[in-house]
Amino acid sequence: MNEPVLSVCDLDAHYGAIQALRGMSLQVAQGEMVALLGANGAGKTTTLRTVSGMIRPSAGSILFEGAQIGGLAAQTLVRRGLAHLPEGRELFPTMSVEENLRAGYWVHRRSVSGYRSTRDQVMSLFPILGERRRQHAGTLSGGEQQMLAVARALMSKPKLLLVDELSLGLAPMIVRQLFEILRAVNSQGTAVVIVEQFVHMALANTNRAYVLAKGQVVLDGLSADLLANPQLIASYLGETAEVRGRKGSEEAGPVEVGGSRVGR
Amino acid sequence: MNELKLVADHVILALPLIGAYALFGLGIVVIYRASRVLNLAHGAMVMLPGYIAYSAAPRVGPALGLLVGILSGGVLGVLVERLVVRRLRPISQTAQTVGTVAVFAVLVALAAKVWGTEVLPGVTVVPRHAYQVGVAVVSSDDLALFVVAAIASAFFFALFRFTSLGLAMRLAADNRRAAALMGIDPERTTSAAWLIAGLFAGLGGVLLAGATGLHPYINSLDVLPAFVAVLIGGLESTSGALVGSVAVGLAIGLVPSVGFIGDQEGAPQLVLAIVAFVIMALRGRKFQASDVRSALA
Repeated sequence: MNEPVLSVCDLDAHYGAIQALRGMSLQVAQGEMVALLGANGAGKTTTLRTVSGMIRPSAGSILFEGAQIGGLAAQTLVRRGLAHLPEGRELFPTMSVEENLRAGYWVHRRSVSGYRSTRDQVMSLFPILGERRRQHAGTLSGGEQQMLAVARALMSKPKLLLVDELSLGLAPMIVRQLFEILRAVNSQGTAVVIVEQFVHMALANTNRAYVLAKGQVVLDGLSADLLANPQLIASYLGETAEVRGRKGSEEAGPVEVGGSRVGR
Repeated sequence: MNELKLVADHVILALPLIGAYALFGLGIVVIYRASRVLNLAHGAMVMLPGYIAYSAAPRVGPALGLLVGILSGGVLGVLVERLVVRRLRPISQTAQTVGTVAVFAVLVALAAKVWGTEVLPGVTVVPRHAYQVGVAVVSSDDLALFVVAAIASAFFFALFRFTSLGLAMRLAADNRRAAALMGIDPERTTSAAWLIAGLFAGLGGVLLAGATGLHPYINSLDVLPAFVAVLIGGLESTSGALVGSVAVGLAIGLVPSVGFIGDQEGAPQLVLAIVAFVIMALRGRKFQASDVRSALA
């Protein structure tokens, strides 16, 4: 593994008095695509929010390209190349598709010519957005809104893209299409971290995966290995797991999966 | 035919009102969009720069006095946001609105303490002259108010449409959290909104004082119809605020020319109250009841 683009170590985060992350640690290598899995409340979304600066960590370190970024504001981190596609998309509903894309380009706004080429490049991934260019974002269908959210995040030309619940409320066909686009983006060098409820879809599209429970990592390994052990995943994710095969019967103790560390 | 002409004359008389309400209304809308607060201190933020220009003018001349007045409005806007509205945000929207009422009271009391409650002449920026238009007499101060307001409004729209700052302010107004994820500092755009609204309040305040004179209460309350204009426009729409300003300015300007009610004391206010009531009843759900009540008080 070359120098990681993101290195999170012993991270704690709180919502008021409630502790959401307890010693969360993970690494993302350059050009890697990583999935965060786990039941509701496991800390997946909180992890993304803390990394992207929406939440201040209460302890631990976050290194982005080797530099400490823990506690920096979201608006500062976008400039460094860290884009976050948040839960619920967070579009600008009363603004047009084009204006949403311009918003995504905000950190590079001084380069006017760059805007056109970046926009055209991003739009080529989502031809439908070109047709909807003047339409208000709030009037798009759910799938189109998610495409716009992805497109907007790409407009900042990120080195690391955090994606929260890409599939939420969308038809499987659209989800597959979006995942293909994310993989294309990833293959051009952008590291991607996804949080996903559809475990199978997440594992099939990533290099590695972390399983979270109660604010920390309880299992990590190569996605292909985890995919080959559905029982193991099911034992951690219980009913929420969308994995084919029997539910795991063995209780989760320390287990070796494809040479990767597993622990509780 | 004669009556038609009379109406036309009153329309001319309404122009300065329309200009003033547009200046104040745009400020109120920009602040609402940035902070989600109906800034009930706006009247005082209009009144105080009039006094500051009045005190500065004898030393620096009327033109620089105007400039000092405008700038003081901007500074005042930023201070009100930083010291009061921003600090109350974690509590609630209502707390912020009540905070602006407190600011209103403090500023009016301050002005009354420093400058007294006698009516003082405002700073005359343009050479004083009166034009006879039909039965209407229009002073140069009134004309200045309208012309300046028209130019300022055009500038305002250009700022919002064509500049990065304008885009940032619209984005932050639409979705504050998403704006931060795009790299926009929402606190900064909020400050910018209050600064611009304050500059407009200062500009309008100095010109208003020149046209009507200076009094701590009267000048502050002169802004009230602008709230009605903003409510007519839907509170969040800058172009709506302009339309509302025209409607309210015309209502106040034209009612005195209407036969059976025009010569009654307070007729324009009554008509305005009815207009406001009907429109707010139709849009009622959009506002917090407390905001509406305070705006009408």
